[in-house]
Amino acid sequence: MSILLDSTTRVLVQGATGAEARRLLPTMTDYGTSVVAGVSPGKGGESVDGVPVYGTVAEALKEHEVDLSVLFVPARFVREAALEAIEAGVPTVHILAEGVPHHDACALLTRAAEMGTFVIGPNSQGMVSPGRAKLGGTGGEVPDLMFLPGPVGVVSRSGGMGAEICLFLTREGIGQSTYVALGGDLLIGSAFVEMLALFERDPETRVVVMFGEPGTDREEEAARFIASGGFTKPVVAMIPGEFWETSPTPASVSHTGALIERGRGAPSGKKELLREAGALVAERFSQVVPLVRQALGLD
Amino acid sequence: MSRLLENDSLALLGEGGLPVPRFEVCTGAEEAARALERLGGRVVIKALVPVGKRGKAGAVKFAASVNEARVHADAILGMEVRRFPVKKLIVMEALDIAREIFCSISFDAPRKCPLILFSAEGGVDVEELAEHHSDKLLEWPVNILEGLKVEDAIELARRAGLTGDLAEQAARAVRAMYGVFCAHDCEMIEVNPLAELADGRVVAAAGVVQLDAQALFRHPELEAKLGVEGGNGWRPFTELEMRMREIDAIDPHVGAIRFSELDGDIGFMVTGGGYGLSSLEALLDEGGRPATTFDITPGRYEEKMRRAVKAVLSKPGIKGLLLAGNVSNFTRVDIKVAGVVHALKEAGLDFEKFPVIIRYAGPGVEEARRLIAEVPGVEWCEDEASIEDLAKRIVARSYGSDES
Repeated sequence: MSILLDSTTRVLVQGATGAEARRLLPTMTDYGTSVVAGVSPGKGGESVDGVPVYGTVAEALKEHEVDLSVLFVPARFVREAALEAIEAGVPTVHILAEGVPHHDACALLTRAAEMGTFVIGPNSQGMVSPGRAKLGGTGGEVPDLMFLPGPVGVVSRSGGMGAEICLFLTREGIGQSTYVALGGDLLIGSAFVEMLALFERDPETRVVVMFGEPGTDREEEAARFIASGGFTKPVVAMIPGEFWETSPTPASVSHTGALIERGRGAPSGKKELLREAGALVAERFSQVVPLVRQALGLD
Repeated sequence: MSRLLENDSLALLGEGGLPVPRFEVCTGAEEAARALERLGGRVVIKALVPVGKRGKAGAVKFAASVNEARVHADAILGMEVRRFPVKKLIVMEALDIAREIFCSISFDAPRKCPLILFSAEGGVDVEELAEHHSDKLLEWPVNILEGLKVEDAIELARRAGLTGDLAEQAARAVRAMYGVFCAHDCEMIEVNPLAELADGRVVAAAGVVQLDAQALFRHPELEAKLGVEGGNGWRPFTELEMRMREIDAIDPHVGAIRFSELDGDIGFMVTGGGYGLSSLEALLDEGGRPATTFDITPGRYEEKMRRAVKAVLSKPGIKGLLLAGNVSNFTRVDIKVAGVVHALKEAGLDFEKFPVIIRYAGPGVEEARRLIAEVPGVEWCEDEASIEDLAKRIVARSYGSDES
């Protein structure tokens, strides 16, 4: 088992004829992802890597049943493409593009909430259910170096750190059930709470690692969710950036969500709430794997 | 930073239908004196800098005569406001303010919507309002697909305690702000104070607009106004930061650089949003003093890396260099490393004495390892090296406590 994605998940690829999709699609299908159709405006009738391409989402849905649409479209076209998938009734929309304008993200997320669409991203690096399926660039050409099937759910606001955590777990022989990069932007669809709820119901997942960042209240929400009994399995959490609270530096950070505003979103507060909720908090990266081992009862 | 200066902010708000005072931008005392004459003889002179809290810094003065205008203009032009030297002034007609209102619009991450903050008691900054008068700070989420309707804006103003004509004028002002917020892809607009004048008019007495850097492609005319005066939002750009901007500009389509100069002595060029932040924390924990932060988006950017590394190495007093990044998916690390190696060879340093530690993982790692071996003394770390291993190692070697 896994969450959101396995080898039977029927995937639609939007922006299928673009360079990014042409490069990544084969790595996804080779890994086991079931890509049923692609969409590219004006390119209906073509095919990419053996996958039929349609001009619109609605046309694709006439011919195929789809569980999830992954968007390989550039940031400036994300709003239109995502709204098309949402209006067509695609249950889950996964947005990879970095740099989506805030107003566009806000509009599509608002419509998604009204339609009950599950959104991952924007600015999600990818999603992987090891040994079954993967979406986006995560794992590159040799995903087996980074991912291994197993009992740990990994969810991260940072694609790079999520991949790094999976790499170190895999190196220790500890596999993952599903890895989800939530996206580092200020406005994203699903966050930790939604993932924890899914991991709670997934019998394969025994522990969840969450990598948070300064800013927003996504980690605080997760802590409240855990404390209220919404998630009952062990959680290992890492949230860097506490040094910003005492010595603000103009460090250039590429994540638009990573801003502490009006005292909200400070890492110290996030970690405190998570600790109170019973999570194991890693103050340093090297503590993540040992804490996972401890939570799994391996030591 | 994508914050417009006050003159551009007010101009944008004015075009959007929000009444704003008449103003002129000046660079000298005599010019300020002439502006006073044109603006009716009573003006407020403010430093035109890309940061707030100017009043607290003493950079906002009232002048009622040509002579006062000269004196205050001279004084403010010699000041530095939160690290920004004052080079320009905004001279604004003085308003006869009866009441100060606060209004801002930004995005709320938890609710995923535009959020209006409004207080019938403005004039103080939002941090103070939030901390001491949170009961008087109204939060008003807006459905971005529906917009801010007339009746909702009036309800907002009434709920904040305004009545009658003032409530209606304030509502019009908030709707004008919201219109600007959407039309120009703003990230944040703050009008403080939104002033009720003695004659009953409602005017934006001060305003700041922050644009969404990710949406500037839709607003080239606004991007042109951003310039470099805003620095990194913290202080003006340093020489090294300006040099890095030039390096970044050699190819706008490949690998966008984000760079800050800090006052430490270890060149810190660790890429990736979360990985960079975690590594910076580890370096500080180990007692390291970072001299830079650096990030570059994926791409084939050998030449940019070459120039960027050279620039960082040129910083006076630098004691060591850490180059690292999280495991990459498709970006070939050997391309990055080729640029690094080129720069290191050109630098001609003794890398047994000047420590350079490199950790990259991902495609092209074998070639990268081979390239690094061409520069004696440079320390290559395999991908099992963790964030803290690297931080410990660069601190130990840079500060001479290396016992290995």
